[in-house]
Amino acid sequence: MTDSRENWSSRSGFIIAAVGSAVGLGNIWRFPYVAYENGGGAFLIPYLIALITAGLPLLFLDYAVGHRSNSSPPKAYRKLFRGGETLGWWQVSVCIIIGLYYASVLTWAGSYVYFSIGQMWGSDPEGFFFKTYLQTSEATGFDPSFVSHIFWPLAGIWALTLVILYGGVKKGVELSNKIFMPLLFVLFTLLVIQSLRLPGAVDGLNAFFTPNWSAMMDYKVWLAAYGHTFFSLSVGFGIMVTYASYLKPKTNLTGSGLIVGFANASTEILAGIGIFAALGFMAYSSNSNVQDVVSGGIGLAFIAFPKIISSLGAGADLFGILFFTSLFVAGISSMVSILEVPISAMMDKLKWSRKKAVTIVGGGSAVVSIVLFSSVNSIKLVDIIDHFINNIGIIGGALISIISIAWFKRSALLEIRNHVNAISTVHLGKGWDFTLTVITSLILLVTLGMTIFNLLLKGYGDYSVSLQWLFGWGCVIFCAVIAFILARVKDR
Amino acid sequence: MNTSAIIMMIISMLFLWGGLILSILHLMKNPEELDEVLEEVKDQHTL
Repeated sequence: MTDSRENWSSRSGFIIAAVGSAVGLGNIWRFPYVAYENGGGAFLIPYLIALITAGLPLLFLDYAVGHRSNSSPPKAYRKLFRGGETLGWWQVSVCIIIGLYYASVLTWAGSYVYFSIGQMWGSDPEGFFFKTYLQTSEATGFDPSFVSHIFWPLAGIWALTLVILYGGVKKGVELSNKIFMPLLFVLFTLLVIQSLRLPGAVDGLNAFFTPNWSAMMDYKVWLAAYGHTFFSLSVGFGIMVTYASYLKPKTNLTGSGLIVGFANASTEILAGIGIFAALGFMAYSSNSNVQDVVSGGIGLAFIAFPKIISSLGAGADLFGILFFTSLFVAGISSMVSILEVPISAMMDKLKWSRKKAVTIVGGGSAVVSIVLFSSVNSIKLVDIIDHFINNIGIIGGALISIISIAWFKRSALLEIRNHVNAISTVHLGKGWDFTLTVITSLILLVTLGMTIFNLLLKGYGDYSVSLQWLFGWGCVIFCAVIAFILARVKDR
Repeated sequence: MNTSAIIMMIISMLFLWGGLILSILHLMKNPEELDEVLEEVKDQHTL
């Protein structure tokens, strides 16, 4: 361990930052929809099994890799196996790409806090979001036209993120999470309570929790459960490796990891209750069924929720502010963790100071992000890049890290297990080896194979081939090229 | 709410929120070691 390496002020500081990273937009807008689409209450069983047999084991692996090496992903994986540095840089590149568009979505959430006051979207939230606010281009290719009212808030999001990162691990990342996480808990709990008081909330909860047992026989439901667990826990793309590298030598890794894993999953259940109670109200107020109004992701947040908010009458402003501020707060702590990965990696590799790394890496990302996502193409770019980078970038990186260790470097797996058991109270046994070697590896392999096959065969969405290649496959190729080049640059 | 929905809601809440509470209690029973003290002792022995 180098003397100059930063660390958390305490174990609780690490836990709260790790929870802040794991709890993001996906917990609020992705989980409820994925659960509903895959069997409702019955989905919770594959989800819980996925958490125990894949999410937590992979979380422990990430913690151990980072903690054991006290290094960011490139150096940490280099110490584990030959070629590991390329994998580490792949994960770093994936984080850079995610940071670019994540800032854009955060900007939308932040702007909608303001739009909630008086419900500025009027009677047509869909038209307002796509046309008035994003000014989405009708062109099939890339349209460079610029949207000034997105530029400034986006620049503001980047400024906030960089200020936090300039503060360093203790005074920036840890301190901000100590403010954001309790705030998120209070806001989101208030939102859920408000949702549960709405007429029709019970119908929403029925739709969310009623089990469709036949769904459990469908392999796609199981893949969805495992896939969601990976995305939700921030595992497999370097964040947890980086965060764990700032821990002090004697830290209870598994004990801390259990809190992070369960806190993240608990937030998802709470989100499911809040979102479906609100959707139940939406169905009630429009005289329709819950299944007719269910949506997820961007559609849920920026179209369905504004509709719900507008139907509330008194208290609409408060409800909107609670929802969009929750989204924003959940997202900003994740955004900080995403950017911390490349910053930490450059500090390790080139011995840059934090100030220099944040300025060059964070500032450079900010410029690219602002140029790309202040344009009239933002929604298309977010959708395409998110799909490719999540399903190939993250899953591919996680798969290679697990296979490289669990299949081809068994001695390293044993060393990692011994390292964890020497300092942790919940010990890892051969069951942990088995989940990584067989369950997690095979599920990721099948998921990645199916994704690549479908993308090559059918493409993604209705986007033009040129856009998909430029921003979808282009990002994947970019990550691979950057990883290959940086792994060959000598350390300073 | 229908019975099966209530059962699934209770099971998931008990498992996840219960798991969170147990994890917190477990960590509270195993407080953080004072690394600084340990390192100081180690340094003294080294010197």
